[in-house]
Amino acid sequence: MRVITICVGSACHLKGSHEIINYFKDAIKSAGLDNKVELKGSFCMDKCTDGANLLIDDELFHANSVDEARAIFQQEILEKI
Amino acid sequence: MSQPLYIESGGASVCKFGEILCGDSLSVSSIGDGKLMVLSDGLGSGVKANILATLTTKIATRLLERGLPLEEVVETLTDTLPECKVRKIAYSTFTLLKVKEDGRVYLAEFDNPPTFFLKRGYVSKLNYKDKTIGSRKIREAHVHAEAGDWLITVSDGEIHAGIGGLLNLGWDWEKIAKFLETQVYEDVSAQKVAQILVDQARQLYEDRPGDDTTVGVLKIRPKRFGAFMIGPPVRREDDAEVAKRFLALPGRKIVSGGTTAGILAKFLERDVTVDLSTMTNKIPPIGKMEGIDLVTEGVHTVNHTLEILQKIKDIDELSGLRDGSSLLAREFLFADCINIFLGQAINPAHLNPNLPQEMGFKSRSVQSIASMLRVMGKEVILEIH
Ligand code: FES
Repeated sequence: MRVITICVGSACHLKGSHEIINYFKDAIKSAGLDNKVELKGSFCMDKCTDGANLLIDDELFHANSVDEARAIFQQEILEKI
Repeated sequence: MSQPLYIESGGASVCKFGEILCGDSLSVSSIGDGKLMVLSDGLGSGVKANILATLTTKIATRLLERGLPLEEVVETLTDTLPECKVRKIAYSTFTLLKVKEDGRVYLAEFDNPPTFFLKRGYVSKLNYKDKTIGSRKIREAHVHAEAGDWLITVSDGEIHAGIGGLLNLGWDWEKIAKFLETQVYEDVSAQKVAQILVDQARQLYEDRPGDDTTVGVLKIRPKRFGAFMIGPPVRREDDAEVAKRFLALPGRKIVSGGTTAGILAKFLERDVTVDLSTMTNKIPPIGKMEGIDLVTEGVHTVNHTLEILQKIKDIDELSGLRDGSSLLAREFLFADCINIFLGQAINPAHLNPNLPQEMGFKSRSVQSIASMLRVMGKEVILEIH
């Protein structure tokens, strides 16, 4: 099981974590990965200035747009599953 | 120490058919350690009755607030009320109800229907003593109320509802008493009971009330406390102490802000999880932590809660909503007494010039919420850390 944890703290919320969560929800579904990838939320990850933050398993990523999130999903999930 | 009490009030009325002004007047005010309710029914109906009734409740309320004895209140009323040109009397009825938070109830009635006193779900008789002041015969009673008791006072329009129409003799005191026993329970609000009684009377009058009808309700219940913590203390070394004091406060525990939730999580050695299903376009999802009744994100949630509080009139408008701001607004509206711990440490990330200014408005929103709650009559204790 892979885990994507997205920060929903105040700063990341402003930087679009809401859209990014929705994107990941859809992406996991359409790739048929419901049983392989879990989506979680977390409050502030203490890296507020770096952008909408997310962890894939234990590795930190920043996504400043849904496009960046898509690239991360492609690279880290689809190509590594 | 026995459990602190709170006296919740509600009131409703309908005018006599065809009148725009109600000839009854109901006033509720907070006196230091309790509530004062005055109901008056002015002679006749329409403008004249309205003036008499309003003057009566205003004068009586003011004098009783200042602690003057009944004799003085009645004398002042007699001297002040304008005389009716036709009937040559200055007349209005009254019911005075003073309920202290320690449960002591003082009741005085002049020509109004007897107050309904409900104890453990049943109407029980009050032990009245008669007293004559000037030419007026007044009934007085002292009782002790506990959580779960209700005091309900009505103008005679309620008792006469349906008279000569649906019911030969009107609704009648005993029947209303029985009806009340079926309507009054722990979770119903004082306002709701007042509304039910008035609606019922209106129906019995077949929507054409033959008299002004007014109901005042006092519900005696345990006081509801809430403790709200938002923002980390300015001095980090205070974290544990503030967390400890916060957790020792009475009532429901509500926490806003990721960092703040983190301080409590660390102190309690527990985890905060996020419930993504509660997320909306505008409001970040809520969190969950054992021992804390509500965990939300900070600034956005609180700003939006302020907007909600400015908009809505009744807590029921929030039922079914699961987003952080609505849940937070609910907590504020539910509590009678709220302790707020406002931490003013600045999150360095929020100073980032790329972030909108509203990120810095958290304290301002909390202060606005505090003053709104005070206007609603709640006790708010704001501590800044
Ligand atoms: S809000 Fe996401 S890292 Fe601080």
